[in-house]
Amino acid sequence: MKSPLKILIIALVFLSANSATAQDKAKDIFLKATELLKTESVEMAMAIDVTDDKGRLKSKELTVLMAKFGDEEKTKVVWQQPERAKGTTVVISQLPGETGTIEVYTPSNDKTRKLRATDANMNLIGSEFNMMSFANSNPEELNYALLNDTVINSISCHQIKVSGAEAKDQSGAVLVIRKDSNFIIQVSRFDENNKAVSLSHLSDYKKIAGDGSKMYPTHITTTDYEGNKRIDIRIMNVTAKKGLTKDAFSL
Amino acid sequence: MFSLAITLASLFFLPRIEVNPNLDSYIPDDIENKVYLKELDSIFGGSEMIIVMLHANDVVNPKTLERLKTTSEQITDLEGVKRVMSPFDAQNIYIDDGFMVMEPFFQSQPETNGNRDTLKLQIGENPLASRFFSDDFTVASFIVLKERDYSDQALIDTIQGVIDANPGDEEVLLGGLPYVRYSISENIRKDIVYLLPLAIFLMLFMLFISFREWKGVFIPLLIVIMSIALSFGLMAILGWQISIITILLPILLIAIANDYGIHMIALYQEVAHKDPGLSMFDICKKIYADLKRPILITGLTTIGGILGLLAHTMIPAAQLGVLAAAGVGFALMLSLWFLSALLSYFKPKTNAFVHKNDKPPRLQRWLNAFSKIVTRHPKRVVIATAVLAVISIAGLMLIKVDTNIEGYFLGKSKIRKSIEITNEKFGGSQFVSIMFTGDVLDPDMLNRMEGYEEELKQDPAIGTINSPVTLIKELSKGIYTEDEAGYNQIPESADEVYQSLEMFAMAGNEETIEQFIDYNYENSRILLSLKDGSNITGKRILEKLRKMTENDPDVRLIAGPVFTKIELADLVVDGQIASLAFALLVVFILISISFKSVRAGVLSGIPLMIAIFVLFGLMGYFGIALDIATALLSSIMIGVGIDYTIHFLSRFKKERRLGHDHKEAAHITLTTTGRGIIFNALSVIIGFSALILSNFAPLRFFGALVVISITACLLSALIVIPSLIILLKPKFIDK
Repeated sequence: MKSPLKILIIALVFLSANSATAQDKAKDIFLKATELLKTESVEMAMAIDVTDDKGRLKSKELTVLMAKFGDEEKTKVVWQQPERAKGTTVVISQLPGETGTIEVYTPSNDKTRKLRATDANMNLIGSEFNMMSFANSNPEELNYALLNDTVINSISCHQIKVSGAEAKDQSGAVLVIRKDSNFIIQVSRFDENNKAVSLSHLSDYKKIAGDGSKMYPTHITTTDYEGNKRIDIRIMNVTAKKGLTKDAFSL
Repeated sequence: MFSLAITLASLFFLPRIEVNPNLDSYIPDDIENKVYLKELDSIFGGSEMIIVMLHANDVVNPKTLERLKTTSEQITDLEGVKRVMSPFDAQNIYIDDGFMVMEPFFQSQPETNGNRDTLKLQIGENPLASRFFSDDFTVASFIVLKERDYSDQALIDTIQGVIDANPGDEEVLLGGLPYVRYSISENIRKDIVYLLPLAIFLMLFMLFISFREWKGVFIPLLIVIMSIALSFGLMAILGWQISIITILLPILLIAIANDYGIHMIALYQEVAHKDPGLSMFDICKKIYADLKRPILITGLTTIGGILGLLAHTMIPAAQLGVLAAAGVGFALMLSLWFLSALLSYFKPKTNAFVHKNDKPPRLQRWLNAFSKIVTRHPKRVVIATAVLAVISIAGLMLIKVDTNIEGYFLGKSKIRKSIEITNEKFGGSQFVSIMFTGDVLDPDMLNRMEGYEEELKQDPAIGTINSPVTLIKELSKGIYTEDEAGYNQIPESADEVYQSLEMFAMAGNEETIEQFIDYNYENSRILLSLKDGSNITGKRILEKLRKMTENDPDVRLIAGPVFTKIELADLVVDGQIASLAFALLVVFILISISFKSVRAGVLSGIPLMIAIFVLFGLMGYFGIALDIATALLSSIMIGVGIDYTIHFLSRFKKERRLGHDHKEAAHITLTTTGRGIIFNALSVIIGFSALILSNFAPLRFFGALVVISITACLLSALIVIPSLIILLKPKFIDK
């Protein structure tokens, strides 16, 4: 479960990133790509298939609601499938520079439990430190490097490497961005030893309902090298939500 | 030239040979437990575990815990490591101020004695952490899950490197199946490096003491070396590997391959002594003519006996049979033709039979004494032998079978110590799984599993018991407060179990769950360890588990490596019986044909049967188990031991043809051919005695038992056979 949501976060990184003036070409390319995805609040329904290294399949369907209220980011994930998990809900609330909270509701026992959003338990939403640091960072605080252009499926693409500004190691992600559309079509993540951690392909970009200027990849496949899993996420619909209140995130 | 060409060609292939320490390869793949283990491995994975243990008076102190943490973290990054499970991964799950806390159990190191005592109490109360510590806190551990196809040698060497780079006061011990294989592999190499030269040295010493001339030493040695080269060359060509069983091959050939040469040299010395005027060429022609037949028969019977190993289902035993038979066959050809040809180039030595003071050598005096016993008291000899046989048969009833690999390693070795510590402090390393298939999250099934756990905890032979129940109850501590009904309980619905596990999995603990419940919640298991890996305990526990779960429709299988050893033990016994019968039958047929008499075949079997009774009787009385090595004894003993009877009968027959009566013929045979027979037996005994210094306990027993069994064959051939012939006067001897 960690990995599919990791992919989701990879995509969300760019939604939550603020626009900024491009100081160099890499940053400019990155911002153009994320601008295309950026929206204040969104609701999506997705189906996730995770296949482990032994070929066993686990499927689930989720609805995800995300919004920003001032500086506070809120994410709500509700399980729709499998039947046994239906109604299980996780709400994450995060303010920059503060310890966030995670609330978990399990319908089977009608219990809601709160967790402090430490680095360790932020895994609950499938993130991990590096990616969250991107998500929570101002684009000005990220490092960008322009790599050689590449061609994928006869399409000319930019390649840029993004890492945390304070990263003393090599961890980060290499993004492949189409030159013609600014779509991010590939994300390779590396750990601090520059070892490949995962490879994601983003495709089937569609317009976000309710905000025609924004596009979203509706098919994301990831090979998770660490967990030896293959994750297939199909986003069935993405709708921009305007006028959301915090009540929508209450349990 | 042809022989030398074959030898050189064989040497060319030697570098291809590999060592195979994997005990599983001894067992056919279709054995039930092996099939089950494969299924378990495909579902739960992680059967390839290396346990790293830090041993000290008190391991709950900052220095030791820091060393454990640093070492485990560094090992996590090594190539070939799937993942590392350490106490630092253990979670503390509880509710605090309305918040569910799932935090690492170890937040800080205990600085004061008071803190240490508190921490020990906390460890004891947290099953996710306590499994890494011994109850007395003298051992702390972590577990390395190895990539299945990664080399044991490479990984353990790099782990050892990490341990060395993090020095400390604690003794570091490794355990687990990959380390057992690694240790077996190391011991195999050590055995080959040390035992082979030792066996050759002993053989040279014996040959020189026996013949007192260098050509009597180096010609048989050359034959041995050439036959070893051929066997190992064949092993390389066939793609077979050196296992704990095939270590026996060079030792076996050192002991056996010179036997034919020894008879040739002994007869050459006898002929040269009797007729000093004969040229070496004439002596060689004569010894070839006299010994061609008995050597051919003894060679064939030895090959037949050794090929009895083919009846073993254990693959390396059958391989040993083929390779040893090829080596012996080559030695047989070399002894008949190569040796005669080579010997003819030397000058004869005519005084080998006498000492400088012209007194007969001590051996001759012993042979005379044998002759007197046999010719004067044949009945007493037969009665005494019958009594000995009866006593031995009683001992045979006490024999036990044990194939526990823990018993392979000797006293002070590191692997032995780690096995002992694992058994004493961690409830053993012999794991057994009870696998359940169905709705494994159903509280009914979980409650049944808990019931089984409670029952099994009462058994003193069972060490640790782990199941999803432990984990699920632990998770409930983060959902319910202590005063709520669900705290530390199995939830009431499968949905609640599912949702708890999903939350835990999402928090990055998927692999912890997968030790007990598979990825998509279709199978689960109880994993228990046995405090000792003996076959008796294994058999009893297997029966207990089967009985306990016989009416449970969800129990899919019960399996564990310890049960493979039980099946291996059955194979050992079956193989023992089959190879014994095969070897006896081959020997009976060959002797019946060569002496043109069924009675000759039966008579020749008597010394073998006596030796078998004595061998197994002694094993029974002294508690020496029948295991993968000692199970090979009877075939080899029959193949080798029959030679003495054949040589005796051949010479006896010849003396009868020369007109001597039975007693005279027995005397002449014992005092002439008896010398060669004794040298032959001594060569076998001394060659195999090198095994007494092996690094493996079964091979040590094998070495000691070969000495006993060959001595029994020798004495039977020199005392029992002549006594029986004198008493029975069989017709075949005069044909």
